[in-house]
Amino acid sequence: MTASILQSPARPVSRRRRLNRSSPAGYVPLILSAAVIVIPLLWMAIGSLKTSDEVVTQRLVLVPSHPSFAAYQTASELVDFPRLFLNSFIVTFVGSLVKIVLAITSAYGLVFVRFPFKRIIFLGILVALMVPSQAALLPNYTFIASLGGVNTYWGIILPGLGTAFGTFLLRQHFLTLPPELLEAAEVDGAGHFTRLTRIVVPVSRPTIATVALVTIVTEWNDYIWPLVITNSQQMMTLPVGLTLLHNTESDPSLYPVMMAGAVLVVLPVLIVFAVLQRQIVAGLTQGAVK
Amino acid sequence: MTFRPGVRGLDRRAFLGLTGAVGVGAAVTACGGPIVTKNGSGTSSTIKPPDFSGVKPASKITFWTDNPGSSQQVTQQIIDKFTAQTKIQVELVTAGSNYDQIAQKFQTARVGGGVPDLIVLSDVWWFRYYLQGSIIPLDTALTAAGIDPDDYVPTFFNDYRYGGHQWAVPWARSTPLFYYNKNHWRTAGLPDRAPMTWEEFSEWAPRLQSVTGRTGAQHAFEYTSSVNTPAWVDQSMLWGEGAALSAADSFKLTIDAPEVVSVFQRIQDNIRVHKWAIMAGSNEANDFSAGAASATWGSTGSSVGIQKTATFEIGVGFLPGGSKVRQPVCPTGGAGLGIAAQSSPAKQLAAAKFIAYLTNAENTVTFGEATGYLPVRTKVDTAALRKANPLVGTPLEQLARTRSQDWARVFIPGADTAMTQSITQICNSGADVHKTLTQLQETVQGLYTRQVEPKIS
Repeated sequence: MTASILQSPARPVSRRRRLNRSSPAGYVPLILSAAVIVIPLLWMAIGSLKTSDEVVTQRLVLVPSHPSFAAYQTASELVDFPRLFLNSFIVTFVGSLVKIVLAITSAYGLVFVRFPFKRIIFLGILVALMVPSQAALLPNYTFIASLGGVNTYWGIILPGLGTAFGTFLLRQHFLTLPPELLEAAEVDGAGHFTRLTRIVVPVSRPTIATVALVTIVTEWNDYIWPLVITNSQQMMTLPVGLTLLHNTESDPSLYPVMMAGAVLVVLPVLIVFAVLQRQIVAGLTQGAVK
Repeated sequence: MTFRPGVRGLDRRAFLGLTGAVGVGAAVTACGGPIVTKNGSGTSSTIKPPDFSGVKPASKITFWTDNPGSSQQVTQQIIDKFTAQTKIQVELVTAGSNYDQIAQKFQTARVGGGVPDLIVLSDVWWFRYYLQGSIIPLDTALTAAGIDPDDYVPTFFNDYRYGGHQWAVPWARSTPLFYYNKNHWRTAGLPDRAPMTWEEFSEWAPRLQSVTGRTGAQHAFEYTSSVNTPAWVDQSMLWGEGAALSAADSFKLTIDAPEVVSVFQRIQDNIRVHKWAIMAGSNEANDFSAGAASATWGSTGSSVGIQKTATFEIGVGFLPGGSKVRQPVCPTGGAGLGIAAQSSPAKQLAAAKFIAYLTNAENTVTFGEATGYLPVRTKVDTAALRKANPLVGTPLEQLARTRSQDWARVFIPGADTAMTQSITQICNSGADVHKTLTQLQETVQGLYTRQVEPKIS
């Protein structure tokens, strides 16, 4: 890679040719960054198939000698996974859906609707983005608990619904849309709702997909709030349920079991990403060439 | 989504509770555990155990546990049998993965509601609950549930006595053990037993260290990691030298006494000068199971997991004695069961009945088989236990050599966390031992003066 950069001023090549010339060295950063992300996950997946003495060991065991799903079996004996999956699914589905709808409508309002104090409201949203959710944990808990929200779905979902991130991202995107598009629709007699659903949402699909992906992943992986607001196993989400696999006393034999549990938590997120990533990649290149 | 704000909004009491909880939260960050913020039912002289005459046990209770020793399954089995016999339902709630988490959750629940009826209490937590008045004295409840206190192992049972009342019942109780790798012992040509004294082990350890090239070990010995409350087992070495963290049955601290300093100086020298020991990075039981340490010490509660994982023959023995005291030098540890003060008398009675069942002679053995914890009753058939866990014989015999822990560690809120920090500094950062322990003494004295003294005098 260094070589090609050094050569380029001396012997200018056309942009197209330079793009086509693939240098093997160019793969190095790609492979490195992929490895940083993939290896821990892969190690976890392999670990879940090992016996505990292959995990807790001084030797490097790359491939388990007797791969087995015993750890998965133990994990599902310890934890009611179908119930946890159901809880996580309900919380993530309802939570993300409401969050995304709220983000789209509020961003639309901030960009395309004229009303006083718009900038101040937007500033308020930005401020909310700066406050870490941990800071609001305790007030949220006492408030939701006094409303009777402990161990309920709405108790888990409600405090996280306001999403400054989604509103902010979508607002910035909506600002880039050509005003002519909406003016034309307005001339044709389209109201706000029609303009939102027929024009703004379809042309913003990639951005919405990005917001959706981030929201779904955050909701699915959220740990601290569901941990605080639930204490019944019947209402725990998957990440919280994983604590059931952990042990107070040092128990080295539990490592494969914990890894098996973690694999089960990660899998659905990977599937969602596989489905949505096509949208996101499409969105990155869209509009790059006019 | 039935969300109706304002129906039961924040009233004044809830708001005061909130400010209290904020105090708790601040303390969590400060010392790793909630502090005592309130004295619920006064001092011991005014305490009256609840009257259970005419009370009928409730049909459903909630039990908060952290499943010590992976005990979730076996506890559920015992619960199912109990429900079949008594028609009392027990909801088993995993309210955290260690004693601190469960304690924090219990504190939050006292403010926000949803307090359990029965809760697991570790050795360093129950006294705080007593100070706060969040658990009831069990004397009358035990009688009402037909529990005979004389049937329990005395050291275990008496650990929870204070001010003339019983505050908890032993359940998942353990003692530390000396674990050694028999292969490494053989390679080093050592006799197949645990050392009798630390003096003896300091002769053995260099021999173990010299054969690490053949055994694959990194150190002859690993001290308890900072995540596993090192002060618990370290008391054993202090007692062996006639020292202690505090004078017997009192809050008179002796942390900066010369004998204590010399014991910790020896630990530091073994790590930094002689280099045959180390403080475990995350978990001494893992490193021992992996063969990275030739020996370590740790709870009997880990013995089942270690046996499942280790591929070599494990030896266990009593904790070594010191130069002044050979025995008793073994602390007891683990958890007991307490009943929440906020719960109703009917539920408290049901909880007491469940305690009686959970810790009866048969179930304490069933529980011990599955987890490695020791039976808490005296009249038990240990044959099954010895068969299920061949290592259990040693801790059972060691029970006669146990000693109740120093008040400085178990009764002063936050003291154990402060001790962990100081021990970590001494072992890992090479901090000056005398200076560190003098500071620790001041810190713990401050915790006592602020949080304990006003509530017991």
